Amino acid sequence: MPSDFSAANVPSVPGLPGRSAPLDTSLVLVSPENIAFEYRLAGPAPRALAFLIDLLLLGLLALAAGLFVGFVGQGSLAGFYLAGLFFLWWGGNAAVEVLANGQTPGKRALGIRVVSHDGLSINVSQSILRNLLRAVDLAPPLFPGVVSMVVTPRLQRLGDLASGTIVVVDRRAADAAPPVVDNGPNFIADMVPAGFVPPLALVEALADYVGRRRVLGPARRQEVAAIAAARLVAAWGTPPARDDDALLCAVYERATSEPAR
Amino acid sequence: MTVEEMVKLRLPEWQALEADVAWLRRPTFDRRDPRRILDFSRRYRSACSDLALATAQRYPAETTDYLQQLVADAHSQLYRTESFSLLDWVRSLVVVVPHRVVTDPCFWIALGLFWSLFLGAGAATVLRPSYAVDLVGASTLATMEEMYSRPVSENSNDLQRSTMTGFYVFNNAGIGLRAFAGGILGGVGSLVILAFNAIHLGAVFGHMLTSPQRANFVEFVTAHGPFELTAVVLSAAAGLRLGWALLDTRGWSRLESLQRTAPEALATAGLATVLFILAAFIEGFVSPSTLPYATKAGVAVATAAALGFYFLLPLLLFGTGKGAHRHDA
Repeated sequence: MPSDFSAANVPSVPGLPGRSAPLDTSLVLVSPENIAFEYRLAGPAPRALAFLIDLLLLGLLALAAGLFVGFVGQGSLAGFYLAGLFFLWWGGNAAVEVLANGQTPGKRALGIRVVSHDGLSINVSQSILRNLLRAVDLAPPLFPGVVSMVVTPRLQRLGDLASGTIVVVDRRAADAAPPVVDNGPNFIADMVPAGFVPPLALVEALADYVGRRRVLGPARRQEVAAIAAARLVAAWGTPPARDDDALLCAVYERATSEPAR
Repeated sequence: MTVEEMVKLRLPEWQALEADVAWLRRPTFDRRDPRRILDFSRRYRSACSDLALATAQRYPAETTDYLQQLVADAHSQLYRTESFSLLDWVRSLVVVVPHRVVTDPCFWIALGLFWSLFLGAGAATVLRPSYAVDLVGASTLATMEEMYSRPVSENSNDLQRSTMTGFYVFNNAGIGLRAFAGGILGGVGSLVILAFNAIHLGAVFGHMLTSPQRANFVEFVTAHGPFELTAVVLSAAAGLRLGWALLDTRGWSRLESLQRTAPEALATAGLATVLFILAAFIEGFVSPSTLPYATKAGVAVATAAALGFYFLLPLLLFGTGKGAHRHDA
């Protein structure tokens, strides 16, 4: 077996044995269904923008209510206005986050969401706490929340740390095109030696190839496939394949096919 | 079965799950079709097993990514924000919180610190009036003297009273929440805000009690004093509890300790906010009213007695046992 294909010494992701951990701001969580899925953490930039949008909306709302109180109520509602402003300032974001499943309008616009660090939705007290603690997180001159986001591995500000929440990129399946898989020709399956079990790293590489080969022209497919195919036939000691693309597809199919159910 | 056949076979189910997620995402106050919810949870579980298979069998990245997103979307709809019961919160505020507060050293530290600084600054100002100028500044004192130069019930109509009530909620309860939030910095923020307010208030009290405006000042501050001062202490106590959890971790990691303590501290801060709001109504409508001073003093006595009753009754019922309230929580 050529050592190029060995998957040794690659750190594996919990729940995804054999898959190498990406060097990225992503987080793998295991759901109650015992399925591991990946969250991409939202960085300081989109979070700051989302906060500014929320702040702007809050300001517009306060302005509109202030004009209403001033012109329509002739000031008689000023007490209600100030009390309302208190609840809006300290609790508005929390209320919206709870009702909209972890998203304020700003977060929705930036495509991010607050979730509990175990991947579940946040509850009321988590949401209130993280929004109250924003008062400290944004306190000048040190801005402890920004410092905290830089030094913690999950990019959490102090409010997130205390309430056990993370902010993640809210990807939607609807944004991704449904997968089209074309396994390719399989007419030279008998070229693959019967006992050959492809190593995981090779299967992963082939998965990438098979997933993308439909966007390549026939000549380009042969060109890309020739590199791996040459090593395979050298390792097997068999004569070169007439169709390298078909050979790789056959190996992939051997590795991934389940017996028919 | 090859990957190609598998994807072709399962794709309609996946797209149906996508539609279910979009359906659940739409905010609605109507009851949802229970049959479709059952279908949704079944499709979610089968998408989970498809994802497990796709991961184990090394399906192309496009397919596993799609399934990852699909499962994550469905997961965030299935495990939505849990609903909360107002009744549970009220029950906790009536039974659990007062007992927890009085058995918490943080409360007694905040109480002792506040009153010793308040009385100390007041006494120092009475003994040497120039301290008041050093502590709060001459302009603040001049404003205070001007404010209380006339009886507080003059020039105060219903509109001003409701406006000031709103202002007291906005300003005082806001200070309370800031004092709580400052606790995350190891309790230091809470202590600083508490000490600042104690010294400031003490100096103003000491100054005003020796000034000619004394009677007007006392008439105004009596009624809302018990609730407002207790609320300040409670806010700082809640922040101190948060900060103390970072220092004394009781065997947990610092983060874990903080996260376990946070809901308890938050409940105390909530209690402080309730007291601030009640105090704002008294301060807005009773303190500047034309009611006789005896009535205002009566309100102060009644609110102080209510606080004593509220905090001490659970103590009498449950004793000082540390774990007594945890069964209720």
